Amino acid sequence: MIAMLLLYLLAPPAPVPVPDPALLARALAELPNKPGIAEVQAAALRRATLSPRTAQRWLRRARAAAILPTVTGEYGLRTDQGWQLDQAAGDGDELSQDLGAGRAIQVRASWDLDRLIFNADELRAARAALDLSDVRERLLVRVTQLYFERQQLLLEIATLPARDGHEAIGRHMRLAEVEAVLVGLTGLALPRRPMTPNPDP
Amino acid sequence: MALPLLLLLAGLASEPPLDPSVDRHEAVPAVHGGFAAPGAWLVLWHGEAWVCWDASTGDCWQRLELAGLVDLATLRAEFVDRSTLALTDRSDGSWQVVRPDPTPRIVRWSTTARHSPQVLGCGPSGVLPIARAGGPGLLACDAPAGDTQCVRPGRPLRLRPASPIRLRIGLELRALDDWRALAGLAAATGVQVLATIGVGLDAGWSQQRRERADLQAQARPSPRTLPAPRSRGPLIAGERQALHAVICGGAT
Repeated sequence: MIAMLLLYLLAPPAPVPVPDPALLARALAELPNKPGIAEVQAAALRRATLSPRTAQRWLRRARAAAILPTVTGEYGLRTDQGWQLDQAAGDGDELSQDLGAGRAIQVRASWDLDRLIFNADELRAARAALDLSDVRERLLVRVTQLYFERQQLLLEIATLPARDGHEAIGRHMRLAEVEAVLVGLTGLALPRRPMTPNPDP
Repeated sequence: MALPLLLLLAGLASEPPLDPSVDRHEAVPAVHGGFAAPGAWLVLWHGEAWVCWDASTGDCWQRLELAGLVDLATLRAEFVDRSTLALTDRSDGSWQVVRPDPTPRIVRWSTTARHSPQVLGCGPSGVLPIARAGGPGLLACDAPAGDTQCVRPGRPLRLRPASPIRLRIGLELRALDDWRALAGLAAATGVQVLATIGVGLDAGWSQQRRERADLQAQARPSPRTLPAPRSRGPLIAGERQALHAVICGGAT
């Protein structure tokens, strides 16, 4: 009994199952090619509003902003009223009233001419542009990996029989998860064409 | 005697192989120490940053206390040396983490952190940071081959040189209308036009110059390691090509 168990444990691992070439070729041909990877990437960028032009626009605006003046305006209203009572011995009291009012309008325009040569906001815009570029790259890497993981799972489901029900369920759950994340990131529908009969148990 | 032997053999048989493809899905965004700290890693795991100063020392991971200080979504990091890590984020703040203190210290100026954490295929020293149950870990992997590395082209970033001179001109228009009733009626109205000019020197000029130089350095071409592909077999070539196009542009 122990010898048999030892033989089982020390035996070389089972070879990785290789799909039938004809089945693999058919499954590859049947993999959904709509949407393609380029379409998925473009949709993800569109959904996240991460177009490369956005950052360029920030830089252009930072430069163009120097042409426009800083304009401030003020409108002031003033009103005052005072009474003065003069009392002197032997004279009658005298009460006088003082009224005053005024208004002032100020309009001020100023130009920071040095910003025509260099504007510190350009640095912030450039840093934001580099950050945006990094975020864009991370998003593209993620959707690319998810796209190919979905293709891989579809291919495995179609060509490699699962070892047990647990693995079959795991594949389908992972596929559903990958597709849900992709749909969330891109907003695209991910239709599946009917593929070869599923050899999963 | 037979039972312990059986248990040992069973343990050996069930140990997962050191095959990077097994744990590729668990790879975490990481920054390698580079030339300055060849054994060091910074990784993002479960919304927190962890640092390993020396990967050869086994359980080397230390959680950094960045909560509320550094925005992890836009974190950039760079190892200055084997015991100093420079951090920055989009707030333009700069921090340094000095081994073994996990709390970052605000610094006015430090080495500019240029690297965003990325999911790698395999680190330059043949290990890959991965997520494990209790924290990040390291997995042996095949050192990056030539086809997993590429050079990211420079990003277009034309910045004008900073100038220390500040020059402001202004134009001001004032319209006044005033009256007063005191022993008669007095009124005053008028319009004033003022022109102003101001000249000054900007104390932050040198800092702007440095920042401009750093931004330009970040935009220059840089070597990159392609992220780990998720597919295998007949699909892997297409995925590598797509990842190459994302990271370095063009096709392999």
